Order: sequence, then structure tokens, then C-alpha cells
Amino acid sequence: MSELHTDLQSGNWSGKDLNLPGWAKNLRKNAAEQFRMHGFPKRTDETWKYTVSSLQDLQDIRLDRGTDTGYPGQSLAHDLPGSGYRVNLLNGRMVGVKGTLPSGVKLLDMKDALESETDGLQSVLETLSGLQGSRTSSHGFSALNTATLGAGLYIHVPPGVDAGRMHLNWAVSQEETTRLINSRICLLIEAGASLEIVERFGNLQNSTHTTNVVVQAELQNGATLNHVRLQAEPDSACLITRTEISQLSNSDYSYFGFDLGGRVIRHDLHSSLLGPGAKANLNGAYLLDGNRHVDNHARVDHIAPDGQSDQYFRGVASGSSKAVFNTAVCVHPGADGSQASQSNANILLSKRAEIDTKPELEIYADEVIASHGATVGQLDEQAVFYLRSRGLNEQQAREILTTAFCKSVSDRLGDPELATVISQRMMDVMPQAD
Amino acid sequence: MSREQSTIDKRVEQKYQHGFVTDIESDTLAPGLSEDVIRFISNHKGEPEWLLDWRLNAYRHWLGMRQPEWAHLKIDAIDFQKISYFSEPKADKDRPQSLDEVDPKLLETYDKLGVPLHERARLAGVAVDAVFDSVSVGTTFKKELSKAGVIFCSFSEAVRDYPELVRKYLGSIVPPRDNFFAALNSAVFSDGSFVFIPRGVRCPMELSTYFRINAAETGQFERTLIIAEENSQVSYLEGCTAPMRDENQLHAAVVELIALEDANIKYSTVQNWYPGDEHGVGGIYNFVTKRGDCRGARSRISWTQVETGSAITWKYPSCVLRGDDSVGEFYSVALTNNYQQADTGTKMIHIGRNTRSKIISKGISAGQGQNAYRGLVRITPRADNSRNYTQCDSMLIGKRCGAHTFPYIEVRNPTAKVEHEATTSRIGEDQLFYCLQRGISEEDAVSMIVDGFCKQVFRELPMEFAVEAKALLEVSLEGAVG
Repeated sequence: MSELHTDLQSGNWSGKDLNLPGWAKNLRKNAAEQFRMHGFPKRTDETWKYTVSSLQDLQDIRLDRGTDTGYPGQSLAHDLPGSGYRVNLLNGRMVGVKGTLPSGVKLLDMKDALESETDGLQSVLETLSGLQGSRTSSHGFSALNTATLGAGLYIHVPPGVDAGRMHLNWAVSQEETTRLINSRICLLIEAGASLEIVERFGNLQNSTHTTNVVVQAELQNGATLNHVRLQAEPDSACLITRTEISQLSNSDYSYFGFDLGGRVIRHDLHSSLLGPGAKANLNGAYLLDGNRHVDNHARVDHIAPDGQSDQYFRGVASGSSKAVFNTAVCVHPGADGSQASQSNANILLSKRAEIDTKPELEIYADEVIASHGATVGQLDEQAVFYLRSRGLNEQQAREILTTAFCKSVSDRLGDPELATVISQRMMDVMPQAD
Repeated sequence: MSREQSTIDKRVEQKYQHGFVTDIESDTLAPGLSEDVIRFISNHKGEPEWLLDWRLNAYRHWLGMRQPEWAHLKIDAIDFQKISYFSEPKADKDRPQSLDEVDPKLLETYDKLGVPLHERARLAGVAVDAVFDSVSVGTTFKKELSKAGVIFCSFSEAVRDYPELVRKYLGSIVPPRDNFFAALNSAVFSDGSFVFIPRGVRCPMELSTYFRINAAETGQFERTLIIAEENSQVSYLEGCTAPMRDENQLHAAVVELIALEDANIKYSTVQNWYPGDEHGVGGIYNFVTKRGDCRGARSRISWTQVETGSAITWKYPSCVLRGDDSVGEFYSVALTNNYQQADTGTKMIHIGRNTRSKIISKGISAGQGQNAYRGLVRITPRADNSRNYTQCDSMLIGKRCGAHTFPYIEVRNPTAKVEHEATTSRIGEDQLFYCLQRGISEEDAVSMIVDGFCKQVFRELPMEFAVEAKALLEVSLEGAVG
């Protein structure tokens, strides 16, 4: 940690010398102070207790200096179907775009957006500082992300515009040192507008980096955001992400996350239903083998009445892997008429693997329908037997059933073509029983 | 709804029925906690040296501990120096040798509580140990029990008469350093109940302890230890009450259960400590550590609790399923009304093969009550074919209360099956309407719906106590629906 603090103080990182407006300087300064006080998450932070021990030693980690320019992941750019605008991000910074943006839609490099004080950016950025959590270190990574604010994107969709699909391809260049790469994606989707983003994390090179990405989106009245995330990081990579969604009335947010790779993956996914009638639909599948560690924390806060949230997550763990899943719904006082459901099912395939799940409910209003279910178990032996009686061998039978189990998540995607590609990817990495 | 509202208001005004103070002379130690206080307690009870050392070690460790803050509770700071750690009813000469020698006022107290130590106990065939403030004042049916070889006595007597048994098992399930409140209890515990069921014995009657806090500014710190040897069986019930006072009083108990091979322990609690008034003033702070060890193969421990009292309840009766094929069960009804807060649940630690656990938790929140279920189900790598089923249901009555669920599930064995489900609901207007149009009054309709909600738990209680629990729930809930 000491190296990193030195970096932060001496300004030895990319984006230090931006010509920032006063408010942005303040954001950075306050966040740096917060990070200095609390540092990275500790084992005593309840929300990190299963994951801290798996994080690599952060003692020697350095901030990325931003010296690379070549994009190593060209081949990644076309591997997902569907048209749409493509943005390549290298080490958290935008390096190339392809396609035409619908008229009125703005896409800016975070650096330029900050320097030119683009409309709307300040309010989106400042939302997070209120959510940073001053008492504990549990949000140390996002404090650090704000303290080094400068890389990433700002996307603005004006009222009523359908911006279509946008691919974000994340890649990291290979370097000797262990680096921490920070990047911020801010989205402002105005009333009645809609956007789909498809994030793809998957480096071809096996570098030992830690990527720390914060995605923030503000969905105004009646706006729609469809968010797909395919994570297939190399075995050595560590990815820490936080997604913060603010939803005004009747807005609709859907998330589909697929964790297929990485060494340590942590994702905090949080949506606040601030306006009446907002909907959040969170789905995910995590497939683990080897000694991977995947930790998903999903939370929906129902603050306004008549909100709906649905959480649907499926996990498979084999080898010596560890899957952590925490889902929470909080229905605040006054959020009457809220409906919330959570479903989490897991299959454990190995004696050395571990699944820790915690479906939480916090209810402060009485006109509410809330339910949750969580299971950990194995494949249904009767179903295996049935398939074998139809002429399949045992391994085939188990593969089919495990795939079907995970496919129930990709089947919820609205786009059948994308669903097919993703379910194929899941089959390619489907963990095997010991 | 206005008619309903007025019925409710009327019923809300109903007060805690066990809030009387018994005017009885008692010896109470001045408030404060130090090694001297612990030495005094130990000396006063004529304890052996090893137990004093055990207490002092716990106390020294406790000094370095911090009160836990993870529970979903708002707790005013507790000044541990303002509490008196020992209070006993003053007996004229020696301690009463039999119930006939017990101060008649005390017996009257228990009569008022509905625990007549003589008659009802005899009629119901239940052996009762009554603990008043810090000490046990009498145990019934001792002779009948001893014929069967069952030891049922106060903890102090057990230390005196069966020191080897106490020394062997004390702290073996809840070590003195287990947590903040268990450490405090280990240092200052004053009395409690001790039960020993020898091999092959099926305890001939239900055993029961009634706890009552009477003196002001005292805390109650009792310890219960139940040992069921191979192939034995026992059912044990505890109940608790306290007077109405404006200050918060502390109750920090420890209960340890040990079930050897094929033994079966059923432990039921009807907790009705003073909950504080409708403005949240006063009430008992109830911080209890309860843990059972299914040490032998095929042993079984079942916890049933009906928690309607206390300003704050912090309690997680747990089972360590060490023996192969052992079974742990937890049935709970927790009710919070007015400003009561409860953070309660269980832990099921599966260590042996083919172990099974079942958790049924029903939380009812009314007024401004906050009710949280917090549970842990841990399947260790060795626990092949283990099975857990958890069901947590919450019922909300009113707009200002809260119901929360924090279930931790940790699975490290691929042959285990763990299921958890939870629902949150309210008493629907359509349900009430249906009952009303069938000629059922609102009060009866509400109690019927609540009773139905809790039925799975009540049927686990011994019959007499199920009736008592149901009545208690009705009283506690009165006026809450609106």
C-alpha cells in the first residue's frame, strides 16, 4: 500500500495533470483523503470478509502511469454479434472507436469531458461521492477510483433518443509491474431515451493487473438501460468493479452478467429506485473452476413506491474455487407497493470448492411483496438417470444439465443471437466435476 | 378502518401483566464491576478455587473486548459499572432447604406469574427451578427425579455437589472467551440450572426454569448446563419475566447443551421479559448465548423459542452437529411491538456425515418494532450428505416497523443440500374482510391469522406452554393492527 500512497501523493500516475474544474479537483481531493484514512477493504469489513484473503498483495501495487498506446485486443472487437458502436478501452482509457453514433448522442473521453465541463457530468459524478461510505474501508477501491479520476468515458443520450447498442471492449497491455488501473464510465440517459451497453472484459495476454472500474448511470424518467457484461479475464487478472445506477420514475434497468474467467473478481452492483414505478432486473451466472474467486454483491434500494426488482443468479463451482454471492433488497419507509424477488441457486461440484451465499431482505414498509430463495446443492440424480436411460453417458448427461442450469440466465436476454453466443461461451468453460 | 382503529387503540393500552415488584428484602451488591466483585460472588457461593480462576480469566479477557456492533440494533451505551452484579432474596437464616421454607412472598410472586411452584407444577407434572434475581429459590420434584437418576438443581448446588461434572462440561460449548456477553456472564454468573440425564434414562417429566428479575439496577447472569448421556431424553422449558422500570436492565445468560450418542434434548423458551413502555422507555436488554453440541452419533437438539418480551433481543441458539446422523432444529416466533428490537436466529454447523438441520423462523413486527432474522448454515468439507432446510417468514403490521433477513450460507461439500426461502407479508385487508363477513370479530380474525402464521412453531412446544405462548402473543399484539 505504501507504494501506492506515494504514487498518489507524488502524482506519478496518468491523468494527474489534467486541467480540471474546481469541483472535480475537490472530488479527487476528498476521495484521496478518504482513501488515505481507510485504505483498501479489510477482513473486518463485513461485505468483504470472504474476499479480502483472496486479493493479491496490494502492498507493492503501483498506479498505472498511462504510457501505452497500442491496443492489443483488436481481435476481440468483433467477437460478439450484432451491430453497434464499438469502443476500445486500453488500460482504462479510450483508444479507438468504430461506427456511427445516433444523432445527438455524445460519447467523450472522460479526460475531455472533465476539462470541457460537459453538461450533466458533475451531477452524475457527485452522486457517487455521497455513496462512498465515510466510515469504513469497504469502498476503498471506489475512493481510489475517484481520487485518480481522469480515464474512462462519458456517454450522454438526449431525451427520447434510442441510442442502440454500444460495445465496450476492455483490454490491458502487458507490463512487468503489478499495476492498478482505474477507470470511470458515466452514463446520463435522459427521459424516454434508451441504450444498450455490452461490456467485454477479456485480455488475450496473461498479465497480472488489477482493474478497478466504476460504472455510474443516471436513468431519468422512463429511460431504459440494458447492460450486458461478459467477463472472461485471464487466470492472473483481478477485476474490481462497481456499478451504481440511479433510477427515476418508470425507468428500466436490466443487467446480465456472465463471469467466466479471472482470478479474483469482485462486482458491487447497486441500483437505487428513486422514482415511482422504476424497475431493476438483475441477472447473472458465474462459472468457476481452478482457484478462481468470484464475489458478486447485488443490492436494490426501493426508495419510491411501486418499484419492482427481480434478481436471478446461478452459479457453478468446481476445483478449489470459491463463489461468493450476496444479494440484498432494502424497501425503505414509504416505498409501498414495492415488489421484490430474489433467486439464487448454486451447484457445487468439488470437495475443495466453496459457495457462500447470503440473500438479505430489509423491509421498512408493509404494503410489500418480497420473497427470496437460495439453494446450494448438486444436479438432480433422477434427471441424470433419465438422460442416461435415453442413451447418454453420465458425463454428457451432467454437462447437459449443468449447461441448462446456467442457460436459464442467458435465455433471459432479449436478443436471441447474443444469448446463443453467450451460452456457447459458457459451455466452452463449463466446470467439470472432480 | 376507524372502528378497527378504536379496538386497536383500546388493546394497545393493555399493559405488561408481569410488571409488579415484589416487596421482599434482598441483599444486593453495590453497583460496579471489578475483580473484587467477582471474588465476592465466588466466595459468597463457597466456590472452589478453580472456578474463581475460571471467572477471573474470563473477566480479564472481557476487559479487552468490545461490545459487538454488527447486529441490526440500536443500543444505548451500557454502563457496566452502574449495574449490580448480585442480588438475592434475604432468607432469615440459612438458604431455604425446601420449598416449604421459601419466603411466602416469593411463592406469591411465582403464583402471580402463573408459576405456582407447588400446585400447578404438580398438576402439570413439570419440575420447576425458580431463579429470582441472581439465585435459585427452589426446585420442585427433586425426589421423584433423583429416583430416575436425573439431577436437576440450581447451578450453585451442582458446583457444590457434582463439581467433577460441572468442571468437565462448563464452558466446553460456549468457552468463556466466546463473545463479549458470554465472557461477561462467565465472570459474574450467579446461578442458573443444572441438568444431568444419565445413560438410557428418559426424563420422567418436563423440566422447567422460571427466571425473574425483581431488584432494581441489577443485571441477571445465569448459566444453564444440560448434559444428556447416551440414549437419554429430556424436554426443558424456560420462562422469564421482570418488573416494569424506566431503566434498561441487562440480562446476559449462557446456555450449554450436550447431547451424547442417541440423546435427545428439546429446549423451549417462552421469553417475556419487560419490553419497555409504548414510548420505548425501559425494558430488558436480553443478550443471550445459547449453543448445543450434538456430540454423539444420532443425537438431536431442538430449540423452540417464543420471544415476545425484552426491549432488545440478541440471541442465536445454535447447534454444532458433530456426531454423524445428528439432527439440529430451530423453531422461532419473535414478536416486536412498540419500540422493541430483535436480532435473533440460529447457527447450524454441520461437521458430521448425514447431519440434518431445519430452521423455521417466524418474525412479526408491529408498531415501530424492528425484527431481524440472522442465521448461519455452514457445511464443512467432511459433512457428506448433510441437509438443511430454512424457512423465514416475516409479517409486518403497520407502516413504521421493519422486518429483515440476514441468512449466511457457507457450503464446502458437494454432496450437501441447502435450501433457504423467505417471504414477507402483511395481514391483508382481504383476509380480514373475509373473516369479518363470516361473523368473526376483528380481534379474533387477527389472532387467528397470526396463530396460523406461527402454528409450525407452536406445535413444537409442550402442550401447556403452547397455550401460554399463544395467549402471550395475543396480549403482546393487542392493538397493533390498523
